[in-house]
Parts: sequence; structure tokens; C-alpha cells
Amino acid sequence: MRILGYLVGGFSRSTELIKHFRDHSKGRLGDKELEELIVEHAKEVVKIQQQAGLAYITDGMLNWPDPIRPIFEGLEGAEINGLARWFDNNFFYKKPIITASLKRVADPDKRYFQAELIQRDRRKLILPDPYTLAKLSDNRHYRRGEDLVAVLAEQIAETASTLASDGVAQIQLTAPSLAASKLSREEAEVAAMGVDIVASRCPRPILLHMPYGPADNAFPAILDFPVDVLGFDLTATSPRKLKEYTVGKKVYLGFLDGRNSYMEPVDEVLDSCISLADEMEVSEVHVGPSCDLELLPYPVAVEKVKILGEILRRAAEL
Amino acid sequence: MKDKLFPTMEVGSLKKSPFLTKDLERAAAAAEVWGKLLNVPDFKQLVNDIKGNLLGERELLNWASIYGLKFFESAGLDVIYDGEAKRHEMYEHPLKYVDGFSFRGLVRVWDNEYYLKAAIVSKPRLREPYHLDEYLFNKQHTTKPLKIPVTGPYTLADWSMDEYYITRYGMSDPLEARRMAKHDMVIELAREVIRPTVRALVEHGAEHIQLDEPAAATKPSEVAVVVEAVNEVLKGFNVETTVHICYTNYSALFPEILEMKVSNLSISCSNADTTKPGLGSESRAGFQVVKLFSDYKAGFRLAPGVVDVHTDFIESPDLVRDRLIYAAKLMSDPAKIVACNDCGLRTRSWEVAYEKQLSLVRGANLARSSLS
Repeated sequence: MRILGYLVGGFSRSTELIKHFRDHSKGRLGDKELEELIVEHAKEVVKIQQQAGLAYITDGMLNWPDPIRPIFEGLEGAEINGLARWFDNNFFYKKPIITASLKRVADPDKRYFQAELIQRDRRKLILPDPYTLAKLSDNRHYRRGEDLVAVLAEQIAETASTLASDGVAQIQLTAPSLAASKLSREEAEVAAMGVDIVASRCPRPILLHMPYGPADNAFPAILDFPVDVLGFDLTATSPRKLKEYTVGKKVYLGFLDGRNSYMEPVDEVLDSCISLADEMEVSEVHVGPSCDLELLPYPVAVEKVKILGEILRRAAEL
Repeated sequence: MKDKLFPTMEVGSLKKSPFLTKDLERAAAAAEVWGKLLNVPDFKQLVNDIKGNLLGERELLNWASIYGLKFFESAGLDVIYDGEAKRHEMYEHPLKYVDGFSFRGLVRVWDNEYYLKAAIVSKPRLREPYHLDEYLFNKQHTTKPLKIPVTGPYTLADWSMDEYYITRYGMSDPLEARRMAKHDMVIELAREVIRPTVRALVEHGAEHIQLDEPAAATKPSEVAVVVEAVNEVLKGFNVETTVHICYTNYSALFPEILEMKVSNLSISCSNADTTKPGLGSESRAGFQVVKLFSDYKAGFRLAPGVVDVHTDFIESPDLVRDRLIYAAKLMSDPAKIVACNDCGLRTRSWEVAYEKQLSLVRGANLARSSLS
């Protein structure tokens, strides 16, 4: 069985980088200086992943203010408003208010993906999935929710095309809203339409990852989504539920708790991963944290990556 | 409080005392202005001591507590505290008194805001009841009933990481392991940390305890644990009890919340409400949640926030009155409504916060008159 490992979200900022951001907000550091420092820290995050032998590498998304705001930059028709809880976390994002037809007035900002830091065949770009983005917005304009999903999908596709213009090895669509509550057939159809719009305009492979919630909320519809890999948060999805279905795609199993500092025993994770993959009858399994590592302090996030590296090393010995 | 219609109470925090600044001239001026306004006894002593730079941190914080108490007392609230003047914040502060936690580093809450997050690494043990000195000091400086805010066990657990309880369970089903470990952690914190803290307060005369549980509805599947822990902390204490849960989807708390054995549940409503006076459902959009508690026939009183703590808009007494009357109507019993703020006033200036508290008291008076 082939086992790959990688991350599925942003990396936490180090204490030093946090200080740089604070200095910048107080006017003690200029825009350009901060940008340069972010790149330096991103290099370190890339190095940590390379050393762990991860198949795909992210730039850590260290300059993202939250997991969705950059998509709305350069768009007319949306205002960014008050704080809203990011799923079941003690973390808050700023809610986009859709007040008019969304129209692009500036190109997506390429600084949101430091592609040049990563070799092309391992580059991984992470963006929100259209349905999740629509659910997290306050729609005061589009009469039908599906219209908003379609428009957002176009914008995500354009962002992906711009950020991935120099090539990527994997695109991830992060879709916590698909697992947050039971998805009706109609909702699943709308979500699939959104993913299809992005998938038709982006390079493959595409991973659709569903952190924080039980992915069986989206079963069985999710199994037919036009993606190459389905990602599950095993701290929120029961392995029993996954065994009930024939997935028919590659799977990403988020066995490492991306929100807890406990370092999982390497052999136990590997055994659980192989055993579940066998029962799901998949020939290639991807493994890593349950979600982004932003919800962990930086040193803990680094340790998690090392654990993942150790899992991959042991897997290679099998 | 029990016999008065629409009794008024605050929720907890105030912004740092205006005289706690390094600029001695400004500090002395602020101590004088607020000392006069709030009728703080011996405030001139503080002004002189600030001018002479004679006070250490401890003395300044004691004065901050006194000013906090007088802030609410002079505004006319029925139940008060000191604005949490001596606490750094609600998570890090209590954990400093508990063995078994280890701070692991900063974690983002939003944008550039971070908090120092800890992990539990062994069985928690309370070194000393951490709010007792604060309470005993406050008791000496007011004759008003005090309500002591205490961070609840669920919130302490939910905002922490777990490197101890999770080791009790294997990796084959991380979901189930996490669920059981979280339950163990919350209940043990309730028994070993929060209950002894509350017991010490009650044994020294505290008559009203407030458990703050802002994380309570974060994970709907864990509401039963929240309720079990609150009941575990408070069982057998013959005192007034309030649980404060703010800015959340309250429907996620049902029906488990009905099993919570408390006197009052304090919730935020005004932040989601309009500022138009009136008793119509459109004007009172933020108070529709009260109906949920009424429909389920909740056994406790509800303390809906009739003052929004996240804006500088000063609610008129008429608006406060309408919010209270509307909430009372939805509950079908005005005796089941307490007049309260949405949350602590930490984010507002003292000037704005004071005006808001005056309106709270005046609005409650108007509501009382209109029903008598």
C-alpha cells in the first residue's frame, strides 16, 4: 500500500512572526519589511515539511488573515464585517457580507501563495470550497443560494488559476461546511456544482478535505464529487462510518489531532491508518493532521510535522 | 435580588482602571475625576499617592478594585463586583493557580489577537482557591451584594489541549477517544479545581457565584458535559448561582441546558438586536431566543443582555425598558427576568460603560414602574 503524508491547512505563526505582525500594526514595521519577514518564516515552514518527507508542501499561509478573506480581496460587492466563530474552534473569522453582484476589480494577490519557495512537483495550494465559502457569508444579494455558490466557485477558480499559474502538484479545497451538519440532497447537489466549476478550471489532483465535523454528514453524495482525494478528520469522523461505504477514490485520513498537543504514538497511528485503509479497500492512503495546524502553538505544530515524518519513515520500512 | 422585579446586575469585566497608566499626571487626574463621580471614599489619598509615586502594583490594584466596585455601586446596580480589576484575563489567570497545566505557546483567536494556550499534562490540583483574597477584599469595601465570576470547567478544558486524559484511550477510534478524554477532563476540573474554589468562597460568605462558560455551545455534542460539570461544581451550595454564556447559537444548548441547576442564566441578546425602541418582534430581533427558554419552560431565571457591550451606542432607558418588557412578555413572567449586560464591559471606555450602566438601572426602573 502506498502511503503519502502532507498537511491540510495553514501553519501557526512563530512568536517572532507574531511580533513582526504586531510591530507592523503599530507602524513600527513597513509593508515591504513585513512581507520579507513572512517569506523568511515561510521558508522555515517549507523546510520543516521537506525534512519530514511530505509528498506535498504548503507555504504555511502565514499571511492569510483568516482562511477565507483573501478570496474576497479584489472583489466588488462584498464587505467584510464582524467576527464569527470558525466552526467549533476558539478562533474567529470576519464574515463577508454580500451586498451586490460580485465583480472582480483587481487580480487575486499572488503574495497569498509563495510558490517559488517550493519545488513545482510538490507544491500544494489550499483554498476554501465554494459551498463552505457561501455558507460562511451573509448573502444579502443573490436570490438563490446556489447562485452565490456558482459565483464564488468562479472566483475561487480564478484565484486558483492565478496562484497556481506556475504549476502545482495538488490543490486542496477545504470544506468544513460539508461535514458541519447533515447535508440534504439539494445542498449536496449545489456543493457538487461548486466543486465541479473549480475542478473544471484547475489542475489536478484535487483533494476535498472536511475538517472539524463528521464527514458521514455528507455521505453518500460526497463520494460522487468530482475530486481525486476525499479527506476525513478522524477526530470528528468515526472510522466505523467510513467502513460502511466504498469510497472509490484515494482517501486522506486525518489521524493526527491538529488541535491537540498530544503527540500520537507513531506505531499506533500507522497501524490504525493501514487497518482502516485495508477495510476501505483503498490502494493508496494519505495521512496527516485532522485539520490545519494554525490552532496549535508553533513549537507544537513543528512537533506534529516531525511525528508525521516518523510515521512516513516507518511506513516506508514496511 | 429575589424579591425585586428586574433586578440589575453586571456580568464581570471592566476596562483597566483609568488611573492605571504610567503617566502620573494623567493617572492622578483620572483618579480625581472618577473618584469624585463615583463617590470613592478617601480618593484624595489615592490622588496624592499617585502624584508622589508612592504606590506599588498591589496598592494600585486594590484601589482599582475599589473604583470598580464604586463604578457599579454608584450607577445603582443591585448586584456588583469589581470589574475583575485584579485579573489578567479569564483563562490564563486561574490556570496559574493549578498544578497539572503547562503553557505551550500562543494561538491565534482572530487576525493578530492571540492567547497563551496551555495543555493539561497531569491530574489537575488546585494549589489555592484563587478568587478568595479578591472576594474578601471586595467584601470589605461595599455593602452591596457581590456576584463573583469564576471561569467554568468546560471553558477551561475547551480552551486547553490535552496531553494527559487522551493517553487513557487508544488510537483506533480517535473520535471516541477524544470524546471520553474530554469528558474526564471537564469533570475532573469541575471536581478538583472549580468546586473547591467555589467552596472556599461560599465558606467565607459569598452569596452569589457566577460561572462563565463562553465555550458552552461551541460543540453542540458536548452540551451534556457542560451541564454535568456545572451541576457538579454547584451541587449542595445554598447560594444564588448564575451561569453566563454569550455570543452563541443558544438553540444548540437544548434540551440539555434545562437540566442545569442554577438560579439564573445570563445570555447576550442586544448585540443581535436593533436599537429601535418598541415591543414589536422586528425591533426586538435579538430577543427571539428568549422564546426558546419559555417554550421549554426553563426552571431558571433568564438574564438577557439589555445592553450591548460591543458598541459605544448608549442605550436609552426607554430602549432598555422595552427590551425588558419584551423579554418578560416572552417568558410570560416578569419575575423570571433579570436586567443585565450582554457580557463584561472590558472593551468599552469607562465613560461609555458608565453611561450604559446608568441606562441599565434607569431602564429597569421604568420597566418596573410600567408593570406595577
